[in-house]
Amino acid sequence: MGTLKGFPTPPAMVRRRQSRRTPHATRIFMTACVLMGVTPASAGPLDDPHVGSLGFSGPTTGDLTAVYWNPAALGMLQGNQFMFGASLRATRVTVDRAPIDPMTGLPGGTRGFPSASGHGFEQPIAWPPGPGGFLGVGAGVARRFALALATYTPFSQKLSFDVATPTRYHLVSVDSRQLALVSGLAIELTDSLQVGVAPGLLFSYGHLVFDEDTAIDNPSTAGVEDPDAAARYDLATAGTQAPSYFVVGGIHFRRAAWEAGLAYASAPLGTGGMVKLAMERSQVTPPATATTPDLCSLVGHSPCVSGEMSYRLPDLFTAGVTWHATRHLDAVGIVRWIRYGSYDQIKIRVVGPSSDRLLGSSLPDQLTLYRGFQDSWDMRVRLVHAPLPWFRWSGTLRMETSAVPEANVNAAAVDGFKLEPALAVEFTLGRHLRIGAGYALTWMFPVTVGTSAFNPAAATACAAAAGDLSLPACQTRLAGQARPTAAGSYKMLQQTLALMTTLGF
Amino acid sequence: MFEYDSRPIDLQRAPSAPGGSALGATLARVKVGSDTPLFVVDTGSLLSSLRRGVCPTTTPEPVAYQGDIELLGAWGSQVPLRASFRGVTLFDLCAGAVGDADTQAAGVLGGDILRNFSLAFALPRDPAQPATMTIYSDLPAADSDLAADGYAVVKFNLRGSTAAATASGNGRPGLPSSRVVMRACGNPPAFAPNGPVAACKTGEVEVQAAGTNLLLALSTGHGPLVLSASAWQRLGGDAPAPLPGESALYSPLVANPIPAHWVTVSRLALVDGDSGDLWPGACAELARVRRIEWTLANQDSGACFQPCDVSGGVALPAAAYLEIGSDLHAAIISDTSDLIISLNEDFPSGAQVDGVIGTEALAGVPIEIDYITQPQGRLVAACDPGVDRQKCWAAPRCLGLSGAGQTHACFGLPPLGFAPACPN
Repeated sequence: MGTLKGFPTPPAMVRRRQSRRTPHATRIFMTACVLMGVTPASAGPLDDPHVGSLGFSGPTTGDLTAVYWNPAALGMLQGNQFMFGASLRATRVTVDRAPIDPMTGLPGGTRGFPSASGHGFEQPIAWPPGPGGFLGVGAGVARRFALALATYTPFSQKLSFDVATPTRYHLVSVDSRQLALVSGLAIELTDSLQVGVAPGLLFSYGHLVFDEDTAIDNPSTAGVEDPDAAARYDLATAGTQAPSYFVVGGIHFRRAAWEAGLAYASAPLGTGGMVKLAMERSQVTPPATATTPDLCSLVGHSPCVSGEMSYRLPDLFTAGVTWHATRHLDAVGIVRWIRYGSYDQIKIRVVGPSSDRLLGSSLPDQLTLYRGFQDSWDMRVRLVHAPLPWFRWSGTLRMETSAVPEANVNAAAVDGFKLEPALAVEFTLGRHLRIGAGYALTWMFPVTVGTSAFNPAAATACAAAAGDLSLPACQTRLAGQARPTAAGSYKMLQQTLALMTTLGF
Repeated sequence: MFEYDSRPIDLQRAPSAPGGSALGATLARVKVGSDTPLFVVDTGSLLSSLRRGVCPTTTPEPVAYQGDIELLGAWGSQVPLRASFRGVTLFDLCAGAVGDADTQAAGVLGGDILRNFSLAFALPRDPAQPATMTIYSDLPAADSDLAADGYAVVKFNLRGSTAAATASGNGRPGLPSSRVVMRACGNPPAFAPNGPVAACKTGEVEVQAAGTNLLLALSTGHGPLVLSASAWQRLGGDAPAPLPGESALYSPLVANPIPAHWVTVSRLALVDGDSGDLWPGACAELARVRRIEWTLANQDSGACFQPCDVSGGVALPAAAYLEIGSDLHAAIISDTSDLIISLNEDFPSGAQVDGVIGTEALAGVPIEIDYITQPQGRLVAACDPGVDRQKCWAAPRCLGLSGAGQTHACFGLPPLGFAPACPN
């Protein structure tokens, strides 16, 4: 059986291309228009579940997205291949905070809050490069080897609330991206077994805005969550940062109608998974009650605050099985174990002008933002049907467990059990070109946080005890949990629209 | 292993000298069973120690062990746990008296542990105010950003590493370099930017230097400035031997009181600069920085850069420096004293450490000792707002301009444009 030049030998999806029938341009155009008409959206807390394409890629798929999913599957590449994918993702988060006691800040009182809505729209055409993009080039070499070079964004988060939102003490806005530049190598050890490795660089960018309640240690003076006592921390990198290093490795096994793949993607290496971002374009705005309204006024330049933000990224395991049920139909199962447990907190240090000394005295210069994530499981089942030589489609149902325990959910970390149906289509144009599109709707089961991990009373108690770290209240503060409560209900809806183009030559 | 919250830890101060005000060594408390004895926080000590039990009358071979330090705040009636250092190497030593004979400490938190952090110290001039130490994991700001924000960044090398030893069968572990050693200019003349011009022709940069180059260890376990007798003589002093009735110096680095002669040093400048062969030395560098500042301050009157401060028609960068004064309390001790010998134990043939900068000398100067930044650590300093220049002056590094159209803001002056070099 001949193969399409540049495409892997294969599954049902590709098997019918040999007829080289050109699809009807009008049908393609109409399909694209329908898909584009849907408001795009999506996203887990950090991780992009659809790197490269939506609906076809996985650890047993022999295209360039294998540098992410399973580099061993690159071994199925034949000839040369170029691939471009772009996802548009939109996220809508709704937060309804529970009323609090105006004296203590604890849930259960009479002070209510308006509903807050957060929005995020991610697209790859941005600088620094945005999330949802995939660009790759690769080639099969001498039958037993395959090489590839690709760039994609494995982790990203973008969400923005209104400036005066009741979520301000946890999040006003965030734009975080990790851009990977990866080279991949696969070796065919036997006719049925391949191994692959893809070492890469991870370029990070971050912009985080939140408020700090400067009266939280002593709420009797200014009241709980008094906007006049809120200092704003607006922390941003100056472009992407010097890269950290990571590696993806995997194996791929094929026998009869079955294929199986297993891959591991490391967290940043040599740092215990830690990413450190120099926040060179940062601002700290003192609260309205401060005598100095602008930290930078005395030094005559802005921004005048620099700092660093650090956090740990997860590593992840991916496993997948494909059963080529018929010549036209594949059944696929994919499981990802995302080890979010390491993403426990974000640490921030800022340094400001020497002249006023607000930072480090009345404004904290070292902050810990508690995240307290847990490992998450992403499971999906997929059917891929290729009814025509130039056309295939897929239907996927994805389920993902929450990366954030219920008590730890807050505006900056909204997650729960998610269901995501997705549809994708792909057309083959001529001998060399494939164009695909996919759409996914991610629905998170609403999360109601009754007992929040965040406890403002701990800040008060710890301050009264002169910061005694032997006390639970100060341990709570040390962990970054002595912040305004995040009790309330959280809803999230995400949509993703993806377009993929593959050129074989 | 380490637990701290990067918020200020209140510290007591030992007397700077017997009968002196409480502006000396920084003291926390440490939890030992149900007791909370005083504990010296000393950046000048190469090792950390905590005595297990009562102090013996003789001085036995020190024994190292793995232990915990539960560091407590030491101000007012509360003694909150403020930091823990678990599983660290400690020496079973009695730290002894610090500042005066009555201030006894149970141990020392030394550089071997402190070098894992960036430490901010606030050392008020008023002994009624607590000193504070804040422990940070690092100082994530570039030299240029710190300079733009008004900080003097003075880089330092760590010294004092010792090899492991097995004397008397005890497995004494080796110690890393952790003593902060800085280049300084002692007794430089007073300077005012509206004073007379200091001329300096090409090649005269070292000739025009004033003051005495010193190499000093920064020690928060000492109060006064401590100088060896030879260093004091280089500063122009005489009669370095202790006079009858003078108080001894109580140092946490040595077991016994050190006979001392007490003097005042008019001022001291810690100057940033490398120690390479081409570096003219701290005093020459300080003189150059002052000439550059004088030129900038008088630029509107047609001032020009001195030929020895120019390269290729462009002023050389002005190094950062921290100048402290006036009339610093100083203890002059013998070159053969245990303290001076121990400061130079690691480099018997290298540059000699002349003494110690104590906390009294740094009163009113908020500092951060950044051990983490590589390849050199950084002392980041700024003066308290409103302090007289003769008492404290922190000058960030000032980069020269390469041509017209550029501006720079240095020495607290408004942004200024390019100034020419004077004819040689």
